[in-house]
Amino acid sequence: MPDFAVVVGCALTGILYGLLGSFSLARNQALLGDVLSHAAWPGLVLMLGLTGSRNFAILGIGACLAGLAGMAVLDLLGRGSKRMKPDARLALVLSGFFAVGMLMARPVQTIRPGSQGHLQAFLFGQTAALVWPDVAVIATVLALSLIFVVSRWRDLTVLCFDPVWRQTTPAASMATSPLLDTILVLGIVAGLPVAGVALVSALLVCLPVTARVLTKRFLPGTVLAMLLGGFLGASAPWMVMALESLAQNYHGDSTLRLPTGPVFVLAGAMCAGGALVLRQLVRSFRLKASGAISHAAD
Amino acid sequence: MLPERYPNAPALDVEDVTVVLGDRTVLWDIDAVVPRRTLCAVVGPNGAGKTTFIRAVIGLLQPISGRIRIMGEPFVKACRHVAYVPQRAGLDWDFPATVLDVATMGTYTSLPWWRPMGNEQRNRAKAALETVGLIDLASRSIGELSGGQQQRVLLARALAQEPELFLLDEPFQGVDAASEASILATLTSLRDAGRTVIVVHHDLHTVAERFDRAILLNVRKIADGPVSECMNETNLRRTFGARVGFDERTTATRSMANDA
Repeated sequence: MPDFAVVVGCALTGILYGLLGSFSLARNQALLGDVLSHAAWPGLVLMLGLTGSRNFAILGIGACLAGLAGMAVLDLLGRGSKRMKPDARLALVLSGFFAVGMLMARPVQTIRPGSQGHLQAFLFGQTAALVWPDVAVIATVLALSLIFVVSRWRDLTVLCFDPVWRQTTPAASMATSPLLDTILVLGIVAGLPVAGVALVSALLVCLPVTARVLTKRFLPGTVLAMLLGGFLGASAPWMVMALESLAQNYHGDSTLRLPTGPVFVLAGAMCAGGALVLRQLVRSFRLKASGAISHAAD
Repeated sequence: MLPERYPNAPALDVEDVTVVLGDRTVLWDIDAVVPRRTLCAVVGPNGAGKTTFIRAVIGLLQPISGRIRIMGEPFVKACRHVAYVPQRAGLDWDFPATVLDVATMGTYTSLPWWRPMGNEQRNRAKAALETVGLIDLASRSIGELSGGQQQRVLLARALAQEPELFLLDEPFQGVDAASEASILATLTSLRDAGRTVIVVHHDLHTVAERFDRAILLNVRKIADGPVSECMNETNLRRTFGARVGFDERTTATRSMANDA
């Protein structure tokens, strides 16, 4: 039996990422999540160095601050020089912030002995080590995101589809866009214990991509992405268990352990890939059908 | 509905407006007045600042000098009565929404965020789609529309805002003839219903035939006023200058021949 905290934590993370990812994808900012998770890394390392705490809520505060700083630098780079293209800005912030984090990681490990494994857990994710306080952090962020999205749904839809026109309307609130960015940073950080800096943004992309292929409106698509995220998250620990026992049967090695985060991400990627293939099949089938009709008409 | 504080103010009053983008002066000392209940074209060559003019009017750009009043009030106060129809090409048509969804966005603007959507909003959006002739496609994905249909959806969204002043940026760019005729007819009937419509437009021929007024722009304002007065050969030559293409000049002269 997988640990109950792990199952609940993964499911909540999936729901959260389905929700936030829908907005990232709709704003054509699918890569932003990856940049933010890497930007959060130095904050997490620094917080561990300063406090020595293993509490995710405390380390998360540092990660959020660094993530917001990354967002601010992205914004500044976009304003400062017009020649800097968005992809260059994203790459610069991602690698720059991550390098700062890696630089600090070594001295922090020296000051705080035994923290190496802990840092690595955040870098690559260590779902199996998820405990209830971590789950509480994820649940809080999910609740905040839901309150924000539900109360501002219409304004957010317009922000995603036509931000320029939105600015000319009286209903547009100045706070909506920065709040959405902040919620995204919080969400990215909340998912770090599950999938880690390296993989966390994959969930942000593959869940809404699957939903986008299967639905044609924004609200149903967002709900589907959340449901899919919740389902995959809850079943990922069970999938891991099944895979481990398969490997045991094959190898007779009962010490073999598989990481849950990558299994979760791969399941999501397979859903996205499957949905895309399905759409292509349906399309070519429809084309053939319409071709047959026009032939019959001849 | 009308902002009755200044019932006699013109729909748009632009005074001494200069806009600088980067190190380039895009609009220089523009004065223009658009009275209410008129169909007005903003005409000029590429790079003349037509789009910039519209963007300055709706507050997307801040002029470095000058004053813009909409029905006697600055844009922030009058925005409730203004609908902007952006260039179709600037939007992401892969966004997951139906035709009705986009038209409904126009009704959001009058609804505070805590109030749920009601039947009134839905009916307004449907009526707008009816006007532009897209009601049969209401549940179609916007990604499946033709260019002309996309432009009509954006017009429907503006109609659903129920404004006094419409500002359209190049609504006929890459639009089929049927859609162009339908959009022009809608704009004309809006004018007849007492609204003011300002359109950035290329085709001098339709301007002379279908519009009441024109603003001729080329960084500076060349002329503005009733079409019959300001669309003369001297003004058009000054507007399009050395850059006037063969086609444009022939259309211009042809439309003037029609006037005469």
